[in-house]
Amino acid sequence: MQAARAKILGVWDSNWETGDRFEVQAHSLGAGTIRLALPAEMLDPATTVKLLEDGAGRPLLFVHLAGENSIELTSTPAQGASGAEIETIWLEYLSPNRYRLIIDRVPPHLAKVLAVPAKGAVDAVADREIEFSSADFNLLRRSAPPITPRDFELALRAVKLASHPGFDSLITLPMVRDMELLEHQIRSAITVLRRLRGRALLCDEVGLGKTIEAGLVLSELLVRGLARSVLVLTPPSLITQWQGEMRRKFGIELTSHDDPAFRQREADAWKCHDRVIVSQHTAKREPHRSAILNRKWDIVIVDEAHHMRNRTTAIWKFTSEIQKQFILLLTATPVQNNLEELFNLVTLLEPGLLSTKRDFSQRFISKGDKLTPKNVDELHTLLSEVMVRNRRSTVGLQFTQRFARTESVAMTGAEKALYDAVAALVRDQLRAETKTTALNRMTLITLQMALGSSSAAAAAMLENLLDKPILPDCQRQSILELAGRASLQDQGAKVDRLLRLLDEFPDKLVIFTQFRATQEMLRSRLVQAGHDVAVFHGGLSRLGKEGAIEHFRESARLMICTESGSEGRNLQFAHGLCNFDLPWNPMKIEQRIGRLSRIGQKRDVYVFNFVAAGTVEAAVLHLLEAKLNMFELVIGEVDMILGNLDEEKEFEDIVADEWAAAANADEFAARMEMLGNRLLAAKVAYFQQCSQDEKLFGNRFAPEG
Amino acid sequence: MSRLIDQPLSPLEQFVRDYAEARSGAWDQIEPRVYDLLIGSEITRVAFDPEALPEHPQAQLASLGSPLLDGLLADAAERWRCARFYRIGLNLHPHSLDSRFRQAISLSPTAIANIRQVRTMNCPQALFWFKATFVSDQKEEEILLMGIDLHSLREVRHWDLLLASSGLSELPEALLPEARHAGIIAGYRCARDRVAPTVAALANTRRREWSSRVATQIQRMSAYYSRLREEANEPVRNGDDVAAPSPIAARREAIDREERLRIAELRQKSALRVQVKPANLMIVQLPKLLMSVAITDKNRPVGQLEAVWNPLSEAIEAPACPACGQPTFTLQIYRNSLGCASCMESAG
Repeated sequence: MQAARAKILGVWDSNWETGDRFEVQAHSLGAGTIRLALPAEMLDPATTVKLLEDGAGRPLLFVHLAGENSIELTSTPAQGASGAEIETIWLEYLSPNRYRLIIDRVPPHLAKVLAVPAKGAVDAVADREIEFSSADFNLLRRSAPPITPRDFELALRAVKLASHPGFDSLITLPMVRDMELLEHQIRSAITVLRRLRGRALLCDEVGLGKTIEAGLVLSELLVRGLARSVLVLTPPSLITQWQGEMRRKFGIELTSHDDPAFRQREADAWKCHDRVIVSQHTAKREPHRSAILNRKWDIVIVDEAHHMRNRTTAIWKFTSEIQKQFILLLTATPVQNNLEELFNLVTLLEPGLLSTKRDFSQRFISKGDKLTPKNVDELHTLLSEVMVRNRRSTVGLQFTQRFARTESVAMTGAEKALYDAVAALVRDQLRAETKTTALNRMTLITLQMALGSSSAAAAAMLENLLDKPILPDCQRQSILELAGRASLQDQGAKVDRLLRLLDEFPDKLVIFTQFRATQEMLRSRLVQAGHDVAVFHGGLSRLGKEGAIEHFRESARLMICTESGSEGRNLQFAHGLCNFDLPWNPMKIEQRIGRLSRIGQKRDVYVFNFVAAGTVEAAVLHLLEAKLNMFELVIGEVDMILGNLDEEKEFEDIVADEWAAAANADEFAARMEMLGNRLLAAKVAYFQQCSQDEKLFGNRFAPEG
Repeated sequence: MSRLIDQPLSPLEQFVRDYAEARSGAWDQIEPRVYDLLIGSEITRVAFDPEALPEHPQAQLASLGSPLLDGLLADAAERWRCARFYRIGLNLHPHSLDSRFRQAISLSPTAIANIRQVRTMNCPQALFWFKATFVSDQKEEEILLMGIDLHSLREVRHWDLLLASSGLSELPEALLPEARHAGIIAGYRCARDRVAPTVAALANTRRREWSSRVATQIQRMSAYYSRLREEANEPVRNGDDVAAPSPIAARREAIDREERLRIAELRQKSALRVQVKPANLMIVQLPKLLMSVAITDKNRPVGQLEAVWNPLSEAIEAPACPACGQPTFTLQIYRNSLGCASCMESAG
């Protein structure tokens, strides 16, 4: 037997005893060769290692690598064995400065333990079912360079952040911002992900946060790498709101088909953008339709899915053809006229779940009443595989009331004259068969709205029109004259009324306007009157917006806000709202109110609506108050009622058309009365639907947990 | 503005800051949720808020799933994956060790135990973080911790005390020899055996849930397609249109094909694969007092025990039965040898 010497660096403490051992770190260099790194505590240059034998008494050869605290061992340990077979190498203390290398010896007292498998381990696990990678051993042989506990903890954190636990817990919860998630929303998202596997009908009653639930599901799927491409189909009036909510609360950027970034790509847009939001109306039409159907979408979210209750409609057929893995349908009223509507919606999620249409009708629809179900228990059992429904009465939330007051302001003679003059121009242009590019429909309607907002807004718009070189000369002169009159108008009446209101309502107040010119005018007047005013609009930087909200939360009593940029913002710390001007679309009014009046608001919300008598806004407001009783509805109900109108046009377009078609104010009032009656019928239909839903679904379909 | 600053950092933001520092780099918060990161020689601007991107077009979005963040997480997980530490700050001089031994270990009434030698030695505790991945139509992962005392090959019970951050150090308080132990690979095998039942239970729960759901779905689907076939056949059966059998045949074939496809899809979804791999490994050298205890009975030597005082739990660990090696607090004497109750029963 040959004994070799190797000079190593090391010294042992005086309380070593013969037989004490140290595990040394082994690095496999290749078959038959390993390198041993000796413990750093061995510092005495005089200490040597005498390599005598391996555990079985076989001679071993090694080479000391000069200048290193390591020795290289070859022909390990049994003849022909490779380094990979070595279990453990020990350095055993024999006496001062004498050590022995031992390989592959398990201490006798542990050999018995290893010989007996852990109780139940063999029976519980079949090796073929749980894979333990052979690469595992590489981890065990790795050297551990000096790292701190903090570094290791960081590695653990990285592993946990990057791992995807089961859907019992949502990993994106800590990343949700600017809102307090409610228990029913979290449970709904977990149910959709865990039990319903991402294909679900979210049928919460209005105002409970279906959008948030969909956002949670979407966020989880994105973060877990289960979804990459996203298509959101909504009514046009909700696109900006969805974008704002997803961006602010979940950090998810949705590109609208109207965004310049999307339009720039032209034909390739649908291939290049992975997260798109588009109106249902636009999506089902070419060229968008083909582009959408030609690619696969990981998740499709349909808001206001009650538009798809009828399977003969283009939108239903289109949605059923989309290639998708996950799909969420959001609607508070899945059934309106016929239980078959439920079948049609469910078939979009799980074709065949409710069998065939004929079979469904025979099994589940009573003869003579298409809304009364048969075999309700069986129907519910099937629906529970796709449906989640939260109800206000069962989620344990307190909802506050809304009180509205109209501040009707009489126009002065000059204001009335200006109003009539601009209105005449707008009406004539709207009726004209050919329109100029400068005076297109949207510009005209916006100009009319601006007039209802303030003379400052009207003046600004008219002056902008004058800047357009394409404006025909014949119109330029009249617009110039109108712009001049508008700029000279006293802004007094409405603002004076607002100042009086501020004396009556002492709390914080959010003042909404559609126009920056009105906003600036109001700011100036209110500051002049000694008020601390915050200003919020879409042109502010990200920090500027945060700063404005913070200013309002802290010291400012008033905040003047445009719609743009405030989508998704949470202003529940205030409970007073002033509509200084009124959009013609009640959805936009509701969205304004929804910044304050939503889940989590603890106080009753007061809404002050400012209108000038005899304007379009006054007519719209009258209709919304008298016919719809809008301001006493629960948030979200307006949207449902408008949905029952069965109009493809936006409400503001309906109003604009009625106004343009009317020869005079009386005719306009009559037309609005008819529109109001339709709204009333839609409202009655909606409440009937609600009571049908209650009979049909009851309190079932609440999420688990 | 102050509110934005006051908002607590998200876990991702905190991680990125800590990572930069751990890499001997630096971070500079340009504005809330927007940073310049210096790692190595490269400066990268990152934004945790997508609303900040238009104002910082050169910034990369740092969110789970983004290449930047995925890269940082993978690097951190790999770079500091294994560690060796020493447990410090323990009381290695307990009072009255022999009376504690007598209180902990139950011996025959006539037996006497004498502690002959007490040595303070390092007992390596191997802590394995296993990542179990369950794959069917979705992927779920669980991180499971299993600690093995390499000296006794028993499960580490008080790993929360062991891992208390103030008690871990890269350097020992005192140089101590190591107790004889089985080595990391044997320890890994033990840990694997002990974690496997937990993984199997998790897998079985998932499998049961999914299998029963899939079975119901397959049954329902078969019934649905049967019904479709019946309805497709009806015009022929009723003799409505005897001149058009081929479209009906084509439709039936389409139904059959779709049924096969969808059922195959469902079966595939219900198949569950489980993989377990060690994600992180920490060896903690835990000083313990190893006692050699001589047992005599009526003045005759009966045997020797190795007992261990654990300063973390401040208790005597169950010694191994000299006969079978199983841990036990109760030892009996039979025919001049020492053993646990079950050994005595088998012997006698």
